[in-house]
Amino acid sequence: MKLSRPERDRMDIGLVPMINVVFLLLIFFLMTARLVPPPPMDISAPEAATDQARRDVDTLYLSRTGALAFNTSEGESAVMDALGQWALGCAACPLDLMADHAAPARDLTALLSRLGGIGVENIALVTVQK
Amino acid sequence: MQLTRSYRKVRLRPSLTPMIDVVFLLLVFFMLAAQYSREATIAVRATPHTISDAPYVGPPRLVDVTAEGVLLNGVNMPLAEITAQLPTLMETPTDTILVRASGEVSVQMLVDLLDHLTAAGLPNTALVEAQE
Repeated sequence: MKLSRPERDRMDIGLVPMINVVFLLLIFFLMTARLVPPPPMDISAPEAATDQARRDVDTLYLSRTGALAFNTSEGESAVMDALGQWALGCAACPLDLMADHAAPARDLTALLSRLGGIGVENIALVTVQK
Repeated sequence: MQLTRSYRKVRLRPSLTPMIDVVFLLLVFFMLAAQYSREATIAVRATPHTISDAPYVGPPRLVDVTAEGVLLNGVNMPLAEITAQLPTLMETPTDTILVRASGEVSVQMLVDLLDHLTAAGLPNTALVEAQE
């Protein structure tokens, strides 16, 4: 009868450090996680050696076929309308542009000048570090 | 008697298992939902902005990216040569360099050039739309 007691103690001792470690991991992942909604289409950003950190701002997506997506809008006219409204809301707001690495560069330059036309000028192209 | 006994026992020794379940669930959620790809950015500008902001000055500095190679002011030359020649065409290091992507060039090829120029200390580029 007396032997069963130390056995129970040993089990309790094992539980508390495990809970400590799990909480530590939980807090670590809570603090370091960047919860970004996934791109609405299949996009892989171009590689670059730059280390300019990505900002936590709204993102415009350009797929390799030239399709556009921004927040909940998809399709060229809907996206440009949404961006026009967005640009009215805050002048010189930063915008991230995530373009597929295989998209034609011509689509990108055309998009940039159209964005300049509606007042969106503070744009950064999202890249993946090599 | 039986009712009070079991009630007391439950209140005095709350089970840790549900709490551990919830904590593990949260842990797994954040492990899977977190993004750990090392994303960075390159600032890109189109020409109209540059012209209204700071007028273009000095000799022509137009870098063409084509499928055949990179051209500085229409002359095909290696990238190292271009980064060596560009400063001689600039009055101040912050002068704008025009970059034009033509033909079947992909975003990756354009980014490679922008990345190369940035690494060479020439970050002030503006993208020009190619005329067909």
